[in-house]
Amino acid sequence: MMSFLRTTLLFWRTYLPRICLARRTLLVALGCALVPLLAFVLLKFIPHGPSPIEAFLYPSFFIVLSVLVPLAAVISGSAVISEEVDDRTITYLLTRPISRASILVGRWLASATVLVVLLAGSVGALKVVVESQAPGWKKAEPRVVETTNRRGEKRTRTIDREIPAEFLQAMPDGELPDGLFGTMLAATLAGAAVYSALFAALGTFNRHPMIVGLGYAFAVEGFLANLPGTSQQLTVQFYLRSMLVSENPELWKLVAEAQLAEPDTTRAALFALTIILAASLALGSLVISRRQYVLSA
Amino acid sequence: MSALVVADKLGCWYGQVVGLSELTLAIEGGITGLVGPNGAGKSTFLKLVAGELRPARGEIRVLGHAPFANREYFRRVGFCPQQEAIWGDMTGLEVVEFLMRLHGYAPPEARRRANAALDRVGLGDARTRRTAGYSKGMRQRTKIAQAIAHDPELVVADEPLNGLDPVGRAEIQKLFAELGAAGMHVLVSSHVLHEVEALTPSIVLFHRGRLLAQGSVGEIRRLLSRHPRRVELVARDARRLASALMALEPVSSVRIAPDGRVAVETGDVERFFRELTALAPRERAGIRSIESHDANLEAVFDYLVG
Repeated sequence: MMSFLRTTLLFWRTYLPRICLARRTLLVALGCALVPLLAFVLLKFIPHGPSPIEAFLYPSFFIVLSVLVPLAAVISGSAVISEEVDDRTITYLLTRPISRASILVGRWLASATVLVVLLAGSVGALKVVVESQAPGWKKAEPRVVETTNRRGEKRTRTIDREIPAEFLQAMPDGELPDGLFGTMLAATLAGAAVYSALFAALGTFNRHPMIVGLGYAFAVEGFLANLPGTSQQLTVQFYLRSMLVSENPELWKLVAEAQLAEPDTTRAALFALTIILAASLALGSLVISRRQYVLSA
Repeated sequence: MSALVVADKLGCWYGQVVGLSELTLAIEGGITGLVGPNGAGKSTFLKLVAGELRPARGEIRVLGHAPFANREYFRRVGFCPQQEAIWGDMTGLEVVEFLMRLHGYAPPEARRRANAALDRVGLGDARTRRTAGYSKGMRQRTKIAQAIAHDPELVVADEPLNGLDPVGRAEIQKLFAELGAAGMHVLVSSHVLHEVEALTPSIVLFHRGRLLAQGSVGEIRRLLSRHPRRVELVARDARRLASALMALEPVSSVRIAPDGRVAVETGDVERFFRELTALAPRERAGIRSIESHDANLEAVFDYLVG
């Protein structure tokens, strides 16, 4: 056991700086930077755009949790083993006196560390942007616009946007409601860890984990997670969303009413996510311990 | 003394492609060369010896161990794979040091061993450069360094001389000879017979996934020399030369090609060349060039397996 931990730590320490400098990490970092940038643009330059709380909730739910977390996890998680196989460097690792599972766990830990830092930075920056723009934000007055059609007839149109009272009253002092940021951050980081473990395990037995992972994250989960009924419980998304709505449920339900089945409690969701993570790593460890990797010269 | 490697009806497939078929052999210690054309099964055999692959059929034991995924065995063996791949974003020193850490050495000892191994393969000056900037020969040396740095009992090297210049080849051949002299067992493969011949008199011939012959280089050479070989000659007077060649005993057939070349088939190439040397000045046919086209191992092996 000590030997396993020592080797896992060695893999983590060796691969962490290498993953930081990898091209796929730059790609994930760019994706993470886009979220707070989008919120800033919406709040600063779109007069009839979202309120500050909406600028936090909508990107959090529909971009960070539904797209960015699984996508970033596919990009970094699927590379954990398949990169070594594709580069044909796995031979050097598989012919060493170490537990093969430590290759998977150590490399996954390094990938997950980078992923968690980038996603936490993204959600943190989103909070900063929203809270910095909130004090000066005011709902724009309705604007009447006069237009002329092809026949020269003049028409007037009113540009306005109904914003629910809950949203308008959600940030009276310019700060996000209590618990909102914390649960969003926790759900994001849990999602990063679970999804990346899932895709890392996939890479131990599939030659194209990126393609299969994308298919799973956006086709299978995308379908099941938005299907009304208990089938949502088969997805990682369901448990992440359950974590979110445990705090400020009235706000989240306004954002994603159609997407939410009856959520689990936070404790149940965390338990389910822990099981999925542990099962993924156990399955991946079992596969890498027994499988032979046939490489071309 | 028990054999270093014992294979019993060993089989390995890549899907429908046969890597090794019903291979039964025993290899004693010391330096042994595995020779065969590309696709003969040398690399598959070495991957089985190194524990990278698991036998699909039969059994292999090396140093008394079943090699696949055997951690105890991996402490005793060093593997230099055929593929050039090595982590390009690491320096040569970092690569070897990291792999030594995986052997359980503490950081200072891992670094000391890495430095010593890199010095030994002649990569001392380039050790702090990233391997992405290495030449093919430098990567080959790095692979050899990581295979010997932990002083294994057995070094398994798959085509280790590929990509090396003549000086580099001589250095690495000398290194293997030193390892052998120091008591290390070495299994080394090549598709070029004379490369292996320079390393060891003990060779194993592979062809199409099977054992073709095993023994000393002298025995194998005698086997090869009985293979009919085709020799092509260009001469000023092809007809005169062809008729003179017909009279030579080792010549089994003579044909004049449309381009004027004289194609000779002989069952004893060494004797043919001896008699040709005597015939050439006597016949004054004006021989301009001599080429022995199928002297490569592939042709020889094809002949030997019928």
